[in-house]
Amino acid sequence: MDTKISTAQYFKMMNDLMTTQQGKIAELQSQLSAGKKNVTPSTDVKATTSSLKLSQVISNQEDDIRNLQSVNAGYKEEEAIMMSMVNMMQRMEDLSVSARSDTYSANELNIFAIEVEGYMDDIRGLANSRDSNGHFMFAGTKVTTLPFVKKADGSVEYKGNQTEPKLELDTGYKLPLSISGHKLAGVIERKNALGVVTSRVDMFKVMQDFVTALKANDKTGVELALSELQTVSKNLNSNLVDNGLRQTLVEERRDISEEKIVIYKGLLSDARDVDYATAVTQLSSDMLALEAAQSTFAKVSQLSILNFIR
Amino acid sequence: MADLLNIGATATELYRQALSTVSNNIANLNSDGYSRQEVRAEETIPTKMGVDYLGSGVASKGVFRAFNEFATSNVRIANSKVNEQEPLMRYTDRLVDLLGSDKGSLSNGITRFFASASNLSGNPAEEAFRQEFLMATEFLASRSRAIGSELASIDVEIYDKLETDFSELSKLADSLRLVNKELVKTPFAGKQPPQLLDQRDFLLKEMSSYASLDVSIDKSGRALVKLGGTSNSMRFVDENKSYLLTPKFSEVSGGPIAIILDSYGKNINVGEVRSGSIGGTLSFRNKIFEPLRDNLDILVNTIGTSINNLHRQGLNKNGEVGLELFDLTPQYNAVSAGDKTLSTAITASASATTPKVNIKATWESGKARWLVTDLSTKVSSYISRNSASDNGFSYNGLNVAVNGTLQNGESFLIRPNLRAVDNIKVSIENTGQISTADRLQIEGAIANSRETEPSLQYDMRATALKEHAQFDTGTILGVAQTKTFKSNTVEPALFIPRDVAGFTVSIQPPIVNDHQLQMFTSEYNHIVGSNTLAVPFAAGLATSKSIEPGTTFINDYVNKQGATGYKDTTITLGNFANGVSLSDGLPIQTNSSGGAQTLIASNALKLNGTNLPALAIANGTTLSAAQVATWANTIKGATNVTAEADNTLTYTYDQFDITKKLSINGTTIVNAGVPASLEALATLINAQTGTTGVEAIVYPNGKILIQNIVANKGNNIVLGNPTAGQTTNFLNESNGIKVGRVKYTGTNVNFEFQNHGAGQGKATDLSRIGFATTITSNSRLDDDFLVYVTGSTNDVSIRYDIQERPTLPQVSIEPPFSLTFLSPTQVQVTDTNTDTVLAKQSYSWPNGVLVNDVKVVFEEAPTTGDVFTITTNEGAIGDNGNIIRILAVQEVGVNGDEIPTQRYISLISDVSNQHNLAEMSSQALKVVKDDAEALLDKSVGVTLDTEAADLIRYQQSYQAAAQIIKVSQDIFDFLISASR
Repeated sequence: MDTKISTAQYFKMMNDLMTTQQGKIAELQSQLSAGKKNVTPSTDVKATTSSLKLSQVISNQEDDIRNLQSVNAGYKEEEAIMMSMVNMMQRMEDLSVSARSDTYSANELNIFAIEVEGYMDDIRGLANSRDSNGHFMFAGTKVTTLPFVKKADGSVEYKGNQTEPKLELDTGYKLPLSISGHKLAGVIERKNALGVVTSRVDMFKVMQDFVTALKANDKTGVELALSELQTVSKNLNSNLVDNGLRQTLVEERRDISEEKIVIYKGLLSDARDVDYATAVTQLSSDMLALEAAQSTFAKVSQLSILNFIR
Repeated sequence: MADLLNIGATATELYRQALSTVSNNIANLNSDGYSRQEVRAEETIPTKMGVDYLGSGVASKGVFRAFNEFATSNVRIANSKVNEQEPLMRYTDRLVDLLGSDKGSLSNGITRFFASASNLSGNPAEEAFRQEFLMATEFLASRSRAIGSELASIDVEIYDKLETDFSELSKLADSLRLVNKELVKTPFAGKQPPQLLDQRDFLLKEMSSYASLDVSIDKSGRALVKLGGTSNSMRFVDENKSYLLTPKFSEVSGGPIAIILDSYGKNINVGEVRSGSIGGTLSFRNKIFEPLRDNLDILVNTIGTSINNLHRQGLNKNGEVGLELFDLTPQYNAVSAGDKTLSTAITASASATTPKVNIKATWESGKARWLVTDLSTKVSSYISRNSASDNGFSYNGLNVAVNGTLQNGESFLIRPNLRAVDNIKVSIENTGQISTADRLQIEGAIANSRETEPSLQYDMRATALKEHAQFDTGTILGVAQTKTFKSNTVEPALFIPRDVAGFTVSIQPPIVNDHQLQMFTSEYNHIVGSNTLAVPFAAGLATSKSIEPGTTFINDYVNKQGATGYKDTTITLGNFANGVSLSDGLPIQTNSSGGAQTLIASNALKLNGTNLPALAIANGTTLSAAQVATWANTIKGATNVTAEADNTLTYTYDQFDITKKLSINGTTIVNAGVPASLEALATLINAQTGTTGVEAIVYPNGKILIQNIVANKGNNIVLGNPTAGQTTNFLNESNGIKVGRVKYTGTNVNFEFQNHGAGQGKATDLSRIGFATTITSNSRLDDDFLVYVTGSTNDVSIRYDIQERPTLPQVSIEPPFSLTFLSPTQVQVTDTNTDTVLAKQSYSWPNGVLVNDVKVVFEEAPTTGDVFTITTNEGAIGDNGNIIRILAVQEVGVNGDEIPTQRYISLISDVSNQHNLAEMSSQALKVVKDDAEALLDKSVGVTLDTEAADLIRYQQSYQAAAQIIKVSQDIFDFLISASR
């Protein structure tokens, strides 16, 4: 076949070849110096789209962790408060056991009453605790309203609401952020002799009635208080268990998120970062090819019959 | 004998030419479009010498240009195609760089927004998180706008590139025209100067890099050019001329670009441009750029409106109903009509509710006014400026402000920017306005049996039940109409949707049709109608698809108003008027029973709260308006309503049937002679007034009034025709009794029923005195109402006027309600403000209880006696219910199943796929082009080695030929000396 080629065409072709090769080398060089495959997003679109996706997932997980940490701090505070309450309840139960025996005089029962009143105020104080931001912890979502208010007759009224805001971690996964004062104070059923529920009261009413019974030296009242105090303790303990459960859950979620981050970061690096060994090898090979092209061009281009016409 | 000297001379001449041609080839080694030339030689005609022929030397056939039409055209085509890919690659690269950068991408903004929402949901009361959320919101909006403005600048760049490309193409076309002009001087292509042909081909190749061309070469070698795929009439270079090709940009942003041939002359739209850099740019714009912008808009709009819808349903920190989080109102742009650049001389703005206005405004400084053309309707009008000191103007709700000095005739295109990407802004101003909280809260009563963990879901309203109604009023709110419906149906005649501003529904049944109006809520609560429903109707109703399933019939509020009524409302039934109430003409009610007849029972109707006595007529008489007025006036003292009867007939002359005769109250008025005018008729009537008690008056407006004399006011008038067998008369009326009407005057004229539910007072009672029975509601109620008509089986005509829904600036908070579990399987819904039982629904745990928009669900099944109260959320500051729902928008599908960030990434992938495609095509096409060029090069290219060889060859030939001359000289010299 006739492979005639014009001089201009020959120079053009050689020039094209060398520029292309030079472009490749420049790109590799910039990737190597940036450490990224996509120096600009368009250099490696696949790396760009997958790193956009992965960065989003990683950022979501990091947020979850941040969120879980702050939630867990709240749980720990909640736990400490309820532990103190349980201790005081224990002491009140002890008092009620002592008070129902005939060992103590009316005067001594009055002293018991003063002690119980003290606990009642303490527990109310604890139930009115604020978190680090100054918001009430046991007011439901009415975090700026003092939840447990002492009225003139000594009774305590709950001013918060029953809403327990929940944290949504992954879709459909809901974790209560805190328990409401309503649940903290509990609902204790009062039954008549036949075992029929006549009314429902909270822990403050139980304590208040205990004080009244002590002051009046009312043994039946003290007896009732003992059983009700036990129910209150049971309620507090079940709240504590629930709290512990939530802490465990949060820890687990955190671990999962942390693991996920490790995995996703690996994938991100795979997608985006330059593999130096491959890139350097590629660079050497490309440079070799360019050198070859340049040196052959230099030699061949000097060949011309005109050189021989002397 | 052959001339040796001549042979030598022609040969040296030829080789001198050949040498200079070779030299020219070498000299033009690098000239654009140069085709190799060569001198072709031929023998001269031999000389006959006896029987032999002797060669006589060589002659030049001429200088020939190497030429390959096929290869040339192939190179052009390949060139167009390669150049098409270039803008595709360059612009798609730009887009990916713009949209895909780590920091600047919109997905970064979206992710940051939802991350901050997630943080806020964990700490709804904390100010720091609210601030972070507000900043992330601002970031998302500003990211979007930044991308929008980058895209807008690419758009401008595309315009500029197209304009430059077209102007380059036109310049080349004009050069080609000059070449054509030179070529025409030589009629045959083969004899054309090679340089001209080189130039022609070179220009064509250059032109082909802008667009695909169809080229035809005529016999003198002129090139006639049109865009690829267009007809011959669209040539932009023809035998004599070249024409401008210009892009015409749409006046609407993002609209199509038309390519116009000879815009000042032929003005033809040439359709699409294929390949070349212009074709590539256009196809980038139409197939990649504009769809991408549209899709980005859809994405931003979906996110923005989804979040807005939720945000305004929640409560902010202060317990107020939320605003919209994002402002997506279209902004208006003013563009100088001349050069399409954004103008700062004027600015335009409009409220969100203004319909989109697209106008061109031209300033006329002489008359200090604007000529405004509506670009959608092409209607022009003059609009005066705001004031002598303010050249701005208003047009259809669009306010235009002038910021600079205007030149006479200066013209602007003012158009809405409908792109959400550009318009999105944050509409709240401080962190307190972030709606983190649900609008309602639910509390279980302390006495409830156990913790049931209730929670609320929103936006749960069942799809409308109205589809089963006989008539869907949804489409005609605000228009009063009358329509005929069937009675005693299972599905309602009318469906009145919730939240309308008010409504009236009237029937005025013929006195023989004992129809009753019945109105229910869709929750099966009977509001208006009979206390006891007929068994078949009630049975049908129980199966109605328009009534919410699982509800139990409630009839505690039927026909009641005020404190005992449904939601304490004042839905009224009867006929209510203020000032003056005029009855219709009374229906004819004749007593032929043989004794006295009671038409309306005593105490059935009340007027302004006072019982009306019985309305009775004697045997053989017909009820007259006068009797009704007298009847109503018997209780005038208590009602303060005065009734006045009237019976006046009004006609114009052309209404008469002059072939008929007339009698009034049995006395003949028109007999043999036809009265020629109203006056003539009046004279005839008034001649008999003494007998008939009826007089006539002619008014100058061409009407005649026929009425009772004052003493007989409101009496019936009997019209007849003295000719036996005739049923109509001169007045063109049926023969018979004409009954009048009654006018009631008082502060209020309110007719009510004594006890409609028990049938004491019926719609037909009001029909008897010419009134309709109307249900009226003047307040907005969040209930769907169903209207039925029961009683007579005849169809019924209902007149109804359902007002439009008022535009609510924001979602209003539901009035508080409670749920009382009557049993584990039945729940009662009570409106706690008015203590109205709204519905009794069947319940089955774990399904929710649906009350309007809200669904109440329980973790554990409630038991009998459990009460739950749903009120406005009091703990808005610490509640995260709404922000959690906003958080769920990140999972909302924008295009099918794709969530927002995924969708965004897909858009980038789409662009990059296009880029890859263009890159691959470009590589493939480059090979094709290289091949085509190599082929052409083989024919027309100059190779230095060949030329060097030719140089030596021709030099040697020249020297040899010179030697011939030398030999000839020697021979000559020898001959001369020999003869000496």
